[in-house]
Amino acid sequence: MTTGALLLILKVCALVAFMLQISAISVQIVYIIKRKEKTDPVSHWLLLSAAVFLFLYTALRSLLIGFVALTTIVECLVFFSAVSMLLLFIYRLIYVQKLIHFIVLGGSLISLLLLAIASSPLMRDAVHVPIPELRSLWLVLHVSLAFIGEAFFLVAFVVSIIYLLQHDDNQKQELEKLLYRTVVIGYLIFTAGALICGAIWARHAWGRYWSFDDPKETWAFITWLTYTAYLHTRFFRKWRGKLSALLCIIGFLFTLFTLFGVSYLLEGPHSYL
Amino acid sequence: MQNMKAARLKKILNFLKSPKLAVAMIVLLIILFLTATFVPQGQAETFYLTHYPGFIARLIILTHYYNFYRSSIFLIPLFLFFINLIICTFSRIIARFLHKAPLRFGPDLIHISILLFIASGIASLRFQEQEVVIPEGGSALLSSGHKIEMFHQLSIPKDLAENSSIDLYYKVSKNGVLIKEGWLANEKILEFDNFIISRQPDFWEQVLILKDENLEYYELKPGIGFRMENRNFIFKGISPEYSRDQENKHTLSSEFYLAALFVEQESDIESRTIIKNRGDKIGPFIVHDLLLAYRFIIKEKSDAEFIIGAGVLFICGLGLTFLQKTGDTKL
Repeated sequence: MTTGALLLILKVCALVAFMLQISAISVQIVYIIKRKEKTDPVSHWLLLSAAVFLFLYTALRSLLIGFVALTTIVECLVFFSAVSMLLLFIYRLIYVQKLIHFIVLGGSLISLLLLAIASSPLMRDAVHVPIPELRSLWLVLHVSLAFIGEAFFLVAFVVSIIYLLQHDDNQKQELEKLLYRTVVIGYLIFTAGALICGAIWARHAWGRYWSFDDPKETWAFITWLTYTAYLHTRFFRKWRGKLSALLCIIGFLFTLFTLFGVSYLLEGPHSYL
Repeated sequence: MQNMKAARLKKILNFLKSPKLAVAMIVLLIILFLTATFVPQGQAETFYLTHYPGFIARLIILTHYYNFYRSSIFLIPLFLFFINLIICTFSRIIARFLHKAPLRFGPDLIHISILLFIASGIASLRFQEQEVVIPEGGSALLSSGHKIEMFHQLSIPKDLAENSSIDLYYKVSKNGVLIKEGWLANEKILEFDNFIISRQPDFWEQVLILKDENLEYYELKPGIGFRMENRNFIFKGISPEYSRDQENKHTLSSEFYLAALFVEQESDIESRTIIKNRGDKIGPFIVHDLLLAYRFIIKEKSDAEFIIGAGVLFICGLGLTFLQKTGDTKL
């Protein structure tokens, strides 16, 4: 298959995923507005289909560049969006929470926004072979695990907002449990990917495990510290609840700043991302 | 009296191991890290005085924020956090062995791994980075007695395309004995004994030495030039060039040499690039020499390999904590 044909298929995949995601969100909104008792039966399957098309996009792009397509900001955003949608699909299947459709809707809107940013003309989206220091298995583990962890943080962000808006104590307790589980799994994967695999890759690429001179690394650490603080606030009855939820919201905002803000506002070795 | 002392000691210990102190220190560290990323590190005092409002500049200088990771404003909270973690971890472990606390070792594994991270971080502070500039054919002598020599070589791609690059050939010796030699590609690091050397690809020193007919020497750096007969000659930098055959093509036997790139401006609009080699005439001057030097970051290796072990310990601890807590109704 020629490069031109592959590029065309890439565009089609992204477009189909975008349309499927918009359809899923529309169905969710209609069901919420009509105040149907049951959650809708199709939107999560639409989300899964969108995720499949985005994973296909990543696979084809990997074929084009001859390496796993996780080396530019656009490739990472597409992957982040795909993982978030897959995660929302799994949450929708597993949890029988009354508020699950709000959680899935919030998450879908954010992943749609991520995809929209990825396709924005402001993003540099040149399909090119990655530089040698990026061609490492450790980088693939670092980036993929970090974004899987961040997808859990995305869900935790939505759950936190719903928690703060909720008045029913039983619902709040359920949401609190869900929030904790989501953050712990995300925290575990994020620590393994962003911090540990990241440190090993940095050692291979730049000759050192960690550098606080790199704002991306420092901000990833700040994000990690915020979720660490969240896990500790749960020890105290007074702090559990609102403060914990606020920390999760701040944590996800820090995640977004690490992804976009650091890349565009601060200079460092990660600035190609 | 003794009871009072014991009670006071217990109070202090309880404060030091309190999770509330841990949260306070974590939040403080978040704020400190966050602000530090917006303050350029390691600049001269005048930089802050000229780039920031007076009050903020004085605050940065007074608190040593310009050298944040070695300043007491960072190290004191970190130390307090470290103490908090040590007391909390070991008092819990003791309580578990005395059956005064449930046998859940997940959080202990996490805390021990964080203690290892912080300890290794503090230990690595003594392994300072050092920056050296080594010119073509020149050498640098390290405090350990190692001598590093660097030679520039032009790398001609197999397809003989135009985009050639400069590779370095290094030789490391100690007391006149050659330890290591080889090619140092742009993205690679050089390791020997206890050192790691990385090449800074974008930072090379480029100096052009010109001489006039009175044998006066002038040093030019990129962006600097001179004016002659309504024409500006701006030195743009040093370019790796290689000889060409009669058809103006590169061959595998092409020789590498350095040439000076000038931009000649006749008016504001018209300009052209000219290339001059050693001995060539440019305006009233003769190109006497071209100096090209790379910058390298030399770092002494800390025994940081055990960080990976600490990371694995952390993940195991976190997994264990989660598994043990999932059955907990308080969750």
